[in-house]
Amino acid sequence: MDKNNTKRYRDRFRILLIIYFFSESFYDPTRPQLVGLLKSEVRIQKLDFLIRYPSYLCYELILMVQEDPKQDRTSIKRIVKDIFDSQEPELRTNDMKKFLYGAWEKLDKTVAFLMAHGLVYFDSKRGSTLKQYQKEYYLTQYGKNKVEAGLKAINSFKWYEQRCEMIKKYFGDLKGSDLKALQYEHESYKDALINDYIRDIALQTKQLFTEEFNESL
Amino acid sequence: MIFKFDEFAKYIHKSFSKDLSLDEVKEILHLEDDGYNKSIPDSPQKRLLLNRIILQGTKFDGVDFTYDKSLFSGVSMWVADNFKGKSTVFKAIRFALTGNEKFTPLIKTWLKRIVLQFTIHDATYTVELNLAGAQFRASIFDCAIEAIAAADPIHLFRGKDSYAKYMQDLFFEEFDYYPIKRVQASQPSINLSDADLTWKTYYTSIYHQSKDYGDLEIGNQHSMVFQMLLGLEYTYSIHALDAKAKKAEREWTINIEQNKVVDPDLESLATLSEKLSMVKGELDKLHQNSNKQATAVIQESLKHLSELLEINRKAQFETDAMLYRLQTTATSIERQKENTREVINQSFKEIQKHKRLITEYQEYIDSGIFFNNLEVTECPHCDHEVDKSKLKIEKESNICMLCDHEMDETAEDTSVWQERIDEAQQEIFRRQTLIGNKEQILKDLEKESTIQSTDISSLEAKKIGLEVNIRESSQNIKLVEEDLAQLIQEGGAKYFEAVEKLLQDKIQIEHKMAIAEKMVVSQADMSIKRRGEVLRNGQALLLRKRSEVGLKILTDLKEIMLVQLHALGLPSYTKVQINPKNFVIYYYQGHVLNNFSDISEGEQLRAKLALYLSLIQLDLGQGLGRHPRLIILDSPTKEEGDQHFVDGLKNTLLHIEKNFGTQVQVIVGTAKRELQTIISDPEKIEYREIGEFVF
Repeated sequence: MDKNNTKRYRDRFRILLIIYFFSESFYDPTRPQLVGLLKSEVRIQKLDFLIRYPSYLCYELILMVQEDPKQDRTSIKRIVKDIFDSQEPELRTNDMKKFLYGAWEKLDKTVAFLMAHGLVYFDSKRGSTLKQYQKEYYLTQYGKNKVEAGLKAINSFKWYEQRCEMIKKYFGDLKGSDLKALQYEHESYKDALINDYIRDIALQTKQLFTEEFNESL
Repeated sequence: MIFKFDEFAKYIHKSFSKDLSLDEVKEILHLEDDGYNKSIPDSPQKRLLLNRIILQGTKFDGVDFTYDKSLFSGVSMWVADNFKGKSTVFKAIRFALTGNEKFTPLIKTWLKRIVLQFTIHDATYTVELNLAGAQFRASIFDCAIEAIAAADPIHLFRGKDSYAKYMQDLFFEEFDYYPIKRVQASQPSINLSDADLTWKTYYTSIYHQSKDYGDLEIGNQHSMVFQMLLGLEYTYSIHALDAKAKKAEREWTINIEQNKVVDPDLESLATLSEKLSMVKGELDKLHQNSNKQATAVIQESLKHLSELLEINRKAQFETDAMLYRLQTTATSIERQKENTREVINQSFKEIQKHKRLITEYQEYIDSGIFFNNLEVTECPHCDHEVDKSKLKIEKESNICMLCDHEMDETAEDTSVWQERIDEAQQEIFRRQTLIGNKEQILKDLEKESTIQSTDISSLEAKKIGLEVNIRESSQNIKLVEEDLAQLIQEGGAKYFEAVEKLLQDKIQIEHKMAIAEKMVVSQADMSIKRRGEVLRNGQALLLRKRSEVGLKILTDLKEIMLVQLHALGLPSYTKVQINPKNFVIYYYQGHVLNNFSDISEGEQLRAKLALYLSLIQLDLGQGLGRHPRLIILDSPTKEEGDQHFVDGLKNTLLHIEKNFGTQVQVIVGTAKRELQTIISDPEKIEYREIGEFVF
């Protein structure tokens, strides 16, 4: 029960923070309480994955350095070093299960809770088979105020704030489908069985870091 | 194979063609009774087995006695105090088999009748000796004792001589024995008389008294008995020619004396003196035996090398022990290090686990704070706004306005989670302290491990060094031993041959000098001298021939003897050597050469038994030789026999019973009561209490 409770509450504020940080500005005079929009569940799932797997995040950052010479090598190297020095792969990894199309966790209850408390608004279309598609997640003004107050007052949020901002800086412009493609290049990710937890890749990330920067983590 | 006498005579004649014709040589070399073809080594495959003995008589107190004892194959034993009749029984057996009587005067007055039944191969004989009357009478039957009352004897005897002769003829016929020719000086005649070996002499290969055990010497009759029992080709003719040669030489000497002749071949006294000095000098040299000196030096060197080897081996043993201890300790240290690292790793994992928990709990608390006091504004089911009055009711009643369930307050009690955080932090601290301690322990263990490693490496290097030393020492010892063996082999056998020859030369020279000193002058009848020389040449040639043809048999016999010596509890003997000329036996213990008399008394009987058992084994295995397979041991331990000797004898008799029990008969008479334990068959033991007579 305890485990479920802690997970539930952490999921709630983490998803709220993802919507807060990664939604684009929104204005609809018919719905003035809605101030941000984050399209597609897939995007939320993948961003959640990057937050919950620091080693995958680091791997992606190093790949970025390898593939794009314009990237700031020094900054990225420092980011990865800091993450590993803080032992984040051991302390911060929060396992996700793999579903049909990749890392995925049911968001309905979390979103329902957030919606019930006026923090977000959710909308979707239904197809002829009544399956939902084109899911849209709106941040409410109340939700925005609440998050901004929380970021100032609650210590735990600091880490999430920094992480989300970092992800936004380097990956924020990627659509959900692009992120998915990126993640599918890892064997650990690709080869995980459906409904199995995706394994961490801290060791492979360290090897890649050594190859790229000629240093050990 | 028929002896080619003509070729033999022609060969000898070549050296005497100037003085003698071929016919004269043939006449000299001629032996009666087909002497050259008498000796064949093939066994008649017969054994003498005693079946039953009866002694009857009257003792000095007038009491009649009858002693009736059945006898069997294998080992049998009479156990009784000394002077209680055991030897009398054996003497009665000897008397019955050979006609040779050796009773004490007292026993002679007691014994009236001796009956002995025996078999030779399939033939059963019974001899009955009557000692009651003034004259000795005897009968021999070709049936068992039970049947003699109703049977006619095959021969009757009056007088021991005729009986002895008959028994000799019987056994010589049955076992293919022949009398080895011998001569000896006899008073009052100055000539040599014949002293051929008889059945009585051959019986010494059967019957052994305690005082006889030292008799296996060179020149002794037993050497001739051995030769006859082995039966190598030319044995009879060698001795026959020797006897004739001695007679001729004796005759020549007498002739010179009587006719006062000077042997033209006789050398001057001065020459002879010079020769004698030379021979004596050679003998002295041999006695000093430079070989022996060289041998002694090498043996000393060998001893030193062996001591060095021993020291190195001891050091190796100690090094191995120390190495084992260190390696055991090193293994233990490695295990401790492994365990310590395991504890450290585990602690690190626990620390991480608790840090994660702290993060979780803190986030939970924080998210609780964040979501605290939030109000439900919209129904998640229908998306309509929730009535504010319902919120108030919910707060007061603590019942959820949506699902009517009681709301859990404790879930919002952060103190519980704070306590958990504190506990986790304490656990982290405890683990960190433990890691600190364990890392120190690990450091100390590493240090100790390094020291151990160094010590082990050093000991292993030392061990390798010692192994090299040991290997070198062993090789050096092997080389020195080979040198020594070669030296002894070259020196040993040659030594005795050389000494023998020199002694013979010395005797001859002294004899010649004695004659020369008398300064007699006359003409000589050289034909007598030549006769002796022809016979000696003939004998020498046959000795060489016998050595050649008998080499394999002697080699086989020596090997069998060595095996028997070991089986009889004498493992220190490493080699047996038999002189093919005179059949003197030498016993080697390592590099030390022993004559029979050099062997300790406690081992002489067993050495003797080894010889006869080997002859028997040669007969059984290869059909060579002709021992009658009967052995009688009268008081083998003597009164003062030591325990080691007694134990050796016990094992010997057990060995005989086990390995030869169905083919050999051994009868033992002893006062040593502990020997009786080796006899398990009650019929084979005749036991008398202390003080009790056999009969």
